Amino acid sequence: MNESPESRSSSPKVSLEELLRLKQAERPSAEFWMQFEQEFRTKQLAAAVEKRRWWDAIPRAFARLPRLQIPLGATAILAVTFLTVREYRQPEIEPGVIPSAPPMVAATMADSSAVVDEAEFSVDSPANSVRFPVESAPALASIPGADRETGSTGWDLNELMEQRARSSELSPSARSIAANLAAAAELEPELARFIDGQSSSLRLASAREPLADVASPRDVRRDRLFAYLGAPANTAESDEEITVVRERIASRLSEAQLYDQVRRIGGGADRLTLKF
Amino acid sequence: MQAAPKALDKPLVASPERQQEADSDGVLVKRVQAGEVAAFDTLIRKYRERVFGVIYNMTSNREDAADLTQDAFIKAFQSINRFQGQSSFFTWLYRIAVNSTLTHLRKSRLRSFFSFEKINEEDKSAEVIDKLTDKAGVEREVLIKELQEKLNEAMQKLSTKHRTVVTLFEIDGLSHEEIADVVGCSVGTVRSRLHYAKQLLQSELEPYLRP
Repeated sequence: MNESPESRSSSPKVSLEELLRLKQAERPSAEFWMQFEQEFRTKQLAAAVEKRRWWDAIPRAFARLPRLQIPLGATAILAVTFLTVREYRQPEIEPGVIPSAPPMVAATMADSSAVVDEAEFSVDSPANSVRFPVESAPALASIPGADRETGSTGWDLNELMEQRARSSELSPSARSIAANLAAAAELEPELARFIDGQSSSLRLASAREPLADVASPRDVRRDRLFAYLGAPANTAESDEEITVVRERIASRLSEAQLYDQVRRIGGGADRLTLKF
Repeated sequence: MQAAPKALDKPLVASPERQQEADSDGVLVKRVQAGEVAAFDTLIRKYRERVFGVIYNMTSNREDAADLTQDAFIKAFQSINRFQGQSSFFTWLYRIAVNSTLTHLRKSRLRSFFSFEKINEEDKSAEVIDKLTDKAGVEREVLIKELQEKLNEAMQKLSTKHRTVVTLFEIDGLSHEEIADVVGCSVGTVRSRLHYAKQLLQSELEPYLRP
């Protein structure tokens, strides 16, 4: 509007395309291309000598199969789903039908040579037939919860029957074992009583916490300290007083101090030495 | 309503010259695939300046551009047996060059610096410079230098995708289809990127442009 003639004459007269065309004019000199060719030859030779790693070909191999990516992926997902479902599906047990023993149990039973009692029972069903050597130690050892020495399963038969009723909540192998034992109990009452007796005794044994027998390091150290302190032959103090003194000492010492003190306290028949 | 950019009026079909060029390249490629390495030298000499130009305008660094051009030719030579002629050789070569450059730009985004080639005052560029100034001598040189810096600065403000499209279309003169083939996107995407990039350049270079 108010532009002076001078400023109008100096106003730009080019378009963006024309301006960008200037970029085409940015070209290297001939010397640049000579150097470029030399460097290129060197790189080409280096590339020819260099061994190509085998794993470089993997992405290229997959890149050639872009059309198969979706079908292959879908197939893989389906396969994984099928295997998962098959692995974790719980087979239905019809009442009165005893499934065959798990393969591991069956194999152990076949290899078993140390059979204590040759009495055998068999359960025939339309689908399966199981021959079960009674108290076969190796065979029972492969059953979870079984005791090798006693030959007992450690399970109450009533419990097993209940478990059988709740079979939909158990794993297939547990249901199979429970069903076998229940069938054995029906056919051999003596065996059932034996197993019942064994299991109750085993339950009593197993009710005790095994870790309860193991003394803690703290108790061991306390005992050792008391052993050092516990030989006041010439004193007339009663046992009760000695115990009180011991407890007082022990309670005032921290764990670390207690550990140190055991080494620093020396005891004799008539003396007690403390090293500082 | 804003008028469509002038560059979009360019023909979208491959020109007969381009077709002829592609045919002659095909013959050379077959010779290289047959084991004649010297035929590849012919291809290098034919395309090295154009490939260098594309990479240089994308990186704004002549040393990087030289290295990347060499690498692109080496990659092309190493994988020439896999070239099946589904696209033209130069499109395939450009694809290798552009992809290598984009990878390089991604890696060295934080340590980029610029080094420029000198503008050769040929017919076209001289014309443009004459339009911008009627001065000669040192003042003209200063203006050219300033212009070059501003142009590169504006180009570097674009994203790599937009810069690639502008370079291939405005500077190298490829068609939209060819750019789509090189970059691996649709023609519509190329057009929209080009439009957006030119708007940005327009605002950056406003003092030098016709109102």
